[in-house]
Amino acid sequence: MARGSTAGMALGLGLLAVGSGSGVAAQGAPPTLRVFAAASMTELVNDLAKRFADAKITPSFGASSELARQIVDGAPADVFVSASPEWIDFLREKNALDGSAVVFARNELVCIAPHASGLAAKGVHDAATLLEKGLAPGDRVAIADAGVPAGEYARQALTRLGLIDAYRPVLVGQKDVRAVLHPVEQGELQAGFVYATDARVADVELLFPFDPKTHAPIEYLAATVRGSVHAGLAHGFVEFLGSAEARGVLTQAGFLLP
Amino acid sequence: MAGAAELEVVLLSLRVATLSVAASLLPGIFFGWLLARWNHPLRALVQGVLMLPLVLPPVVTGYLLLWLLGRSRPLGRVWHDLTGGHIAYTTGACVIAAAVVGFPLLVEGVRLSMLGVDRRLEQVSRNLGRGPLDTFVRVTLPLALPGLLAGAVLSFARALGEFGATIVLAGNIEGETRTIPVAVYTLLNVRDGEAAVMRLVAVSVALALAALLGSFWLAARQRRREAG
Repeated sequence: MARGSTAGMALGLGLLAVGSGSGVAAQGAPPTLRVFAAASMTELVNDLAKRFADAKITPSFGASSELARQIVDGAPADVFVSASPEWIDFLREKNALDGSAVVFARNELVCIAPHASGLAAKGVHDAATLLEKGLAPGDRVAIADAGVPAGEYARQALTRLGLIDAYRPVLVGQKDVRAVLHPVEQGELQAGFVYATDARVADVELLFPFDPKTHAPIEYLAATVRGSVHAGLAHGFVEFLGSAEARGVLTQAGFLLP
Repeated sequence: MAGAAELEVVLLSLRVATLSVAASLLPGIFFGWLLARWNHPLRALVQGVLMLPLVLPPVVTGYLLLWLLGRSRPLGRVWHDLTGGHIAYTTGACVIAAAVVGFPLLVEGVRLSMLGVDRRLEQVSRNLGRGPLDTFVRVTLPLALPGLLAGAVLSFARALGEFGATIVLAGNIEGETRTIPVAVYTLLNVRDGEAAVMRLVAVSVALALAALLGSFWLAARQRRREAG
């Protein structure tokens, strides 16, 4: 009993110390901005976070669809970066955004294969030839889930090409575009549909790009979340994404500019 | 997702859970018996390893399984050489993931009911000239049956709910590996998925509740039998 209360007191003192420590930090150091960003923006947002001097950025990455739902359900986000206008519209309908959304980058949809797959040598150069010549029985293709922007763009493209029904039995859904990379890198799945910028950060082979005319334009939008305690800073970060400095970083990472 | 697709999801889940329990039954009985009867220092280690999937994050279990059974891994390769097929990303992978994660519940059910079996009855059977296997099948197993069934029902329910290991080892393939939890997770990403989510959630809760009540009823029967 006595030991228990001593331990409790030590814990209490410890918490006090931690509490006052962060209080001091809050006065001197910049505040924290929570940025909920599309998974394909992982490296880029991490990089830009270091360059944004006004606030410390705590990013949270995932499928834009998943993040949008979290925001609607009250997750503490200051800025939302979406890989498609669809989920910005969704949040706007739910009255969860402040101000207008800014389009600050674009991307391309590509098909990747495990490193040194040899598929190109077999004559695979588009979605039709991949299905025809590239896949042995049991071979499968990774795609982001329906609703996830990368999954939607890829499904639009396959539908437009008239291949969606033929592809359906071989598609393996993944929770976001980055989750497509791992099984393809490991050679567990024989191909995958990702953005051109994702293909650059993984040890995979770029098989072919999709014709941009087969899917909606891939646009990244950023907006301030309503109820942000740092609304001014959040607007500042959204503006920063369109700055010359950010454009340089985007181009460097392989993103296209609007 | 239309009604037909949801039905497909539910039927697949039931099929996967049934197969996973069926596949676990014999090893489950063996290990339950072993842990109840084997007095050896190594028993704790065996028990610890068998219980591991109960406490490991399912995603970790899935990753370890993929690491063992993936097509670029030794066991996956051996399997491919033997059968020409693959394990990962198939309905079979769902069954394996569900079986591994549900196995501790089955073993524990068997173990506890084996501990409750009056060993004098086994001795009588042996004295009357029955062999050890015969005695096990005709005396021990029937006495332990309610506990075995309760364990099986619990592991069935656990198998129905398996998500973490399944999504890693089996992925999310319509009609093949999209079980109820995977379908719910998928639908959460879809703008108008709410109605379908609610229907699958209702089915999920109903199945889990039925399984739990079933296992309670079996456990109560076991206690009554032990008391009587």
